[in-house]
Amino acid sequence: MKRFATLLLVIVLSAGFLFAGCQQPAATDSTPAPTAEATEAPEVEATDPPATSAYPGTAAAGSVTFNLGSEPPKMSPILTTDTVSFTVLRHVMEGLTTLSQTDTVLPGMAETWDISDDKLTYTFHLRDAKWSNGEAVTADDFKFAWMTVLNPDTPAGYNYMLYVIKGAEAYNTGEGSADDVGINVIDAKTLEVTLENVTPYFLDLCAFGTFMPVNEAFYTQFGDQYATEADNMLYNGPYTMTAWEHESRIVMTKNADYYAADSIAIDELVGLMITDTNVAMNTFQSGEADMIGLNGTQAATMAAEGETVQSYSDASSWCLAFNLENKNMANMNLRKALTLAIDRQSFITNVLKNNSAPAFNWNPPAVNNGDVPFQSQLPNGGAYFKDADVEGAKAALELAKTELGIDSVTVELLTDDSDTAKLMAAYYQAGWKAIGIETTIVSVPFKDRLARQDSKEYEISSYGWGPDYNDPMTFLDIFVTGSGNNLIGLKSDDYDAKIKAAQAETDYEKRTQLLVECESMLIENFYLGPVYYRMRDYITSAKLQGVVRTGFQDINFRWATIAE
Amino acid sequence: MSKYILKRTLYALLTLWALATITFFIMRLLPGDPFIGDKALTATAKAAMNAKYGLDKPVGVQYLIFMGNLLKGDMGLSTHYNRPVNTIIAQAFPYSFDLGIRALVFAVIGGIFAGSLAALYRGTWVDTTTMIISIVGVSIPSFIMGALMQYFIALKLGAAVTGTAFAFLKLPVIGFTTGKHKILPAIALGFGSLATLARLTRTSMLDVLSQDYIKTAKAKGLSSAAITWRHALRNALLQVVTVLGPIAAAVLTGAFVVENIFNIPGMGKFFVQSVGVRDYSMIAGTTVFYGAFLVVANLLVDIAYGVIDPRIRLSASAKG
Repeated sequence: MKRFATLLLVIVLSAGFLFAGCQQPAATDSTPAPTAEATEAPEVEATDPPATSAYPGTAAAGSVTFNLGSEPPKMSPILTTDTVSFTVLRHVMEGLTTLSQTDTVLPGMAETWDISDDKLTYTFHLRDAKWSNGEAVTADDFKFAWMTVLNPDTPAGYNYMLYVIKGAEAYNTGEGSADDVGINVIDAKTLEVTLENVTPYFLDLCAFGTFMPVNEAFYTQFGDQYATEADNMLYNGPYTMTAWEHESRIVMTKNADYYAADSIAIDELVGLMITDTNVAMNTFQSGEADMIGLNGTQAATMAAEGETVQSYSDASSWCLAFNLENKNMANMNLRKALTLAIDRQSFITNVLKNNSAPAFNWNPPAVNNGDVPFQSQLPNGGAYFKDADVEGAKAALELAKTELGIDSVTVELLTDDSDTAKLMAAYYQAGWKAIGIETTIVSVPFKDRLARQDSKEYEISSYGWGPDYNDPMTFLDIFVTGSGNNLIGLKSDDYDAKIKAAQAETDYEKRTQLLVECESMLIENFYLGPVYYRMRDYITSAKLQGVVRTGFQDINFRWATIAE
Repeated sequence: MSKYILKRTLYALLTLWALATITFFIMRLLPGDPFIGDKALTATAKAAMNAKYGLDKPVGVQYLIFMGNLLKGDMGLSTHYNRPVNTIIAQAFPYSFDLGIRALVFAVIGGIFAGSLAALYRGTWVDTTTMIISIVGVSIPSFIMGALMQYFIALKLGAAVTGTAFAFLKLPVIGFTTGKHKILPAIALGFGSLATLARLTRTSMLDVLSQDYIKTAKAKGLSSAAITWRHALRNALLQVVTVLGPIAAAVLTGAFVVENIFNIPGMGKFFVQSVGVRDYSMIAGTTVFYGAFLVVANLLVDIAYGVIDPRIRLSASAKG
């Protein structure tokens, strides 16, 4: 009997969990949040109404919680290649330069720099900055980090980002020596970098995650376990990582030693790793998060509640990629028919349900050529063809059938196996059916799709590309012959020559002309069938203001504030 | 008895070897490799990655290295996280274990209590209600249970009580830090098992209650509490012990999704993630670890039968 009584006691005690502790009563009548400060508001947000929300957000003072979306798999700037890791790195580290709210270059660890007349040599003058262990950030830290990325034995996925540096590619591929790489430490505060070609976006690159400095002594202490835990890493950014509970949350605390610490308004950032969008929504609505991403349906629900849904372009461009090595897809008129038959606006409204924009060329509006959007330099502002041109599609299809000598066309469409990807595929299928093309949809897991693209085992792939840096070249040089990213298998001497010429061209106008010709070649031949430029929706609580989100800074709290 | 345990242990080791071997070769059949991504790697980077994670050697050699390391208890380096799988398991498993134990305790206590009640009050509204709830519990998978509870209890009930005297009833949507955080995940994970146990307890309790020795006890004039506890429940529980192995397995595998819903840094998130990213060492490591855990759990249950019920031990030794 005693034991039974004990069991009962356990039950009662378990129920007692419910009554343990006392939740702080949250404010029920939330006052309307003050509007965002108009001064220095980034361009992307200037058109949006200031965000106000009926959701007060998290309770902790001075702290903001947001959804990172997943665990940053590798935090070492030397190894990492993914958006989430770069988002965390953006807050805890800083390169020679850094980006403003509008993606323009600002001084970072380098206070000033000189550029030689031939635009090939950059001399950076470093400011007095400290690592989180108190040591000074020096020119050697940059050289060490960059040379480690380029070391052929380092499994660095983004090593090619540094190939713009003279001798870097030769060293990395084993054809040159480390001594010939154009990275020179003049003194502790001066770094001289010589480039292979004129690179108009080199200062942008210096703000990118792969170009971060690393303290050699600290790195050597941990070896390949550098940056695998919060304590295994040194920081020099606006924040330091103070806790990292893997696959759960990351806590970043304001770095008092950061040179511009006075201008950092938020003391603590908590990044959650919630993968499920519905869970993220529950978290936001219950006041456990201040910023989450929204899918199309959630955005509509929040808008109906009177909330301000915010959008930003992630600068990715989505298209139909045609495998030119396939007999049918090698036919220009078939590719044209497939491209013209799609009603992009209706696709965005009904399938994506967000503010994504219909695409009629490859480079998205977010990509600049110098100070100007590259799209504005294209013929007709990038409108190479009409949306939902069913008549044009039918005509092209008839031509294609004659040229291929076939009566009916069946195509195979390769997509991911996510719900959205399947919906997208079904929409394309319906559009093509309307002009008389049958479609077989092949939905496979993400890695499987990549493997099939890689080995050219597909006809059409629903494909997207995001930029590595803010220049049209990042969307164009992937299609040169032999490039690992050239999934369509384009082999055009003309195209290769133009890219090569553009890479070496020092004159802005001439380079622009070459880039425009490349873009035109891709679209006028329908090597790619542009569909949309992706926009992403998110929502912030009344507490959080002024978060920067752009195609080159997925999330940046550097300029954000907490509403009083 | 020792012969029985030795034999069971040998079977367990054989099971683990087969599990590790099959997992090792099957995961290589998945299309794609750990390093393929949105953006193509340079040949140098790819070669360096293959060398670092030992994927540059023939598969047969990789298998021997894998088994050799496994014998030493080393599960290798995760390709996705670049951290030792042992470290990841050491960090993540305590969370899963904590959640699993809570769910199990909830399921066992709740299930036996509800099942006994239903049996004792057979045919009344208590019985009907308990059985309806348990049918619902058996039918609803834990991840739906988790999502429903998160929405209706943490979010909606939480919003309703906020600012009232019942604000203490508000439970957090995600996390696993305080006792309050652990209530919903434990219930979500344990509810299905609770329902199974309740049905089982009811059946075996009814079976026992109709036995002659219960009638004898009643005739002796024992109090009904004494009959329930000393005779009925104790004998009924024997059957319940037999399903504890499978129940533990259900709780462990259910945890994969429940942990994801409640953002708990347990093994589940790593396990599910590892397959998607083709993290070979992580897939093999977590599978073998869970396999070992279940095999040991089953072994203990088997041995426990022998201790509780001498008939099982005797028949096993007789056969062996």
